[in-house]
Amino acid sequence: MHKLIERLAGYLPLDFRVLYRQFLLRVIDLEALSIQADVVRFLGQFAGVLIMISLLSALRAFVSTFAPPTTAAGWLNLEWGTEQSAITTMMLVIGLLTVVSWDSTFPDRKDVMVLSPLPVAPHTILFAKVSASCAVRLPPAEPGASFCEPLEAACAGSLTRPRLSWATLSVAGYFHMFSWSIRLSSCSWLRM
Amino acid sequence: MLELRRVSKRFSSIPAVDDVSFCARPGEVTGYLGPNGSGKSTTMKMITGLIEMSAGQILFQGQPIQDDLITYKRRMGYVPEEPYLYSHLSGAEYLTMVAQLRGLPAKQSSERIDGLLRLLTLHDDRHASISGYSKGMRQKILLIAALMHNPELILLDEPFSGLDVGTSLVLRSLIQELAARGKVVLFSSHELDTVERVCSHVVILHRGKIVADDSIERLRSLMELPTLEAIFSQLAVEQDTVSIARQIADLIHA
Repeated sequence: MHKLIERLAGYLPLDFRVLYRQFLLRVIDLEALSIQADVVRFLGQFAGVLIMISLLSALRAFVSTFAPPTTAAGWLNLEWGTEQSAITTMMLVIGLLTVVSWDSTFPDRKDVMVLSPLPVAPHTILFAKVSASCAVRLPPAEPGASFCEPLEAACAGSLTRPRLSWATLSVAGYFHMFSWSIRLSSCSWLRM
Repeated sequence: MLELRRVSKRFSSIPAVDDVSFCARPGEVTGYLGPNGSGKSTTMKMITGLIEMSAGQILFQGQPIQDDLITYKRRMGYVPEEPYLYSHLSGAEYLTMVAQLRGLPAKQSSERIDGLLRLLTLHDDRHASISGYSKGMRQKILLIAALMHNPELILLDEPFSGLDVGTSLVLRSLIQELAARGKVVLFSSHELDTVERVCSHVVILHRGKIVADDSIERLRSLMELPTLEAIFSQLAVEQDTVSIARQIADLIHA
């Protein structure tokens, strides 16, 4: 997989790779986003939201561990609730990432002023910027959502889950691994 | 040779540059002067390909620059008026990025960046973030970025802005040295004293139109004025500067 990505990257023009890597590093401009450039506080707030979701999920898992449903309808409700929670969390993480990276979706004035005198085609700048924005926004969305899962998973270990739930979690896990392998690969094949 | 033929630029029907034609030749430093809002920076941006002309043509070595803008930009170095840089990078990282985008071989670019950073006394700060750099340090980074690929055409828009005395003197000599080595140098500045020392040929712009295009020597003898400052005042300054200064002083003392 890694070699395939490396080989495919080799076909991309050098200026695209340089710009993609450059934009990848600054998709989320923390200094611009945080009030009075307090980056640590901003990251703390971001982590706080995720931890809060994780705790709520954990609480729900605890309750269902000690008071498991007794009927099929009860189990169904529990499973649908879990699925809904996973989807909501994922949407929330994507939403947060979209908000914090909104300004960097397309080339801004700074990009124009810095890159215009350089021998780079405007469409290369645009493609690199949009690609970097998508790369940052989409792959971490699932791992971001999964960040909220560990506590829930640990607490819900004693629950006997139906096959559907198990399958969903497995697919999410594979997707998680795939996302991270792409991100790790990108770090090496973009290094010049 | 860089040649502008009847170049005009209008912003919403307001003319910023109107029918400008001049040549900048290899081996000489061409000064491009004008008061604020006269269209100097707009012309510079058109020459760099940053903005499009409304009319006219810009030629470099006989070829319209729009025919192959990417190749033209490979041969050009530009120091902009405002120091736009990626401030989250360090000086060395920024210059490496520029070198890669200019297609310089890694070894060559690394040697040049290292050498230029040393000569411009930025080597010790090369790994510090640009966000912490002073205006002068940023200006030095822009200078290195503009010169490291050994361009044939060098465009300098207020290059002395923020530089200390020592570096300004180095830059002044460097501009002359580059011209002596056959580069085309177009130099825009408000520092008339520096322009007079560095440039052999000046183009003076006023309200978007050229009011003078000649060597400083010829302008001096034609207008019978002793300095470039006097020539510039006569051609491009409409206000009674002494009277305005007096009025400002009166106003703040009132």
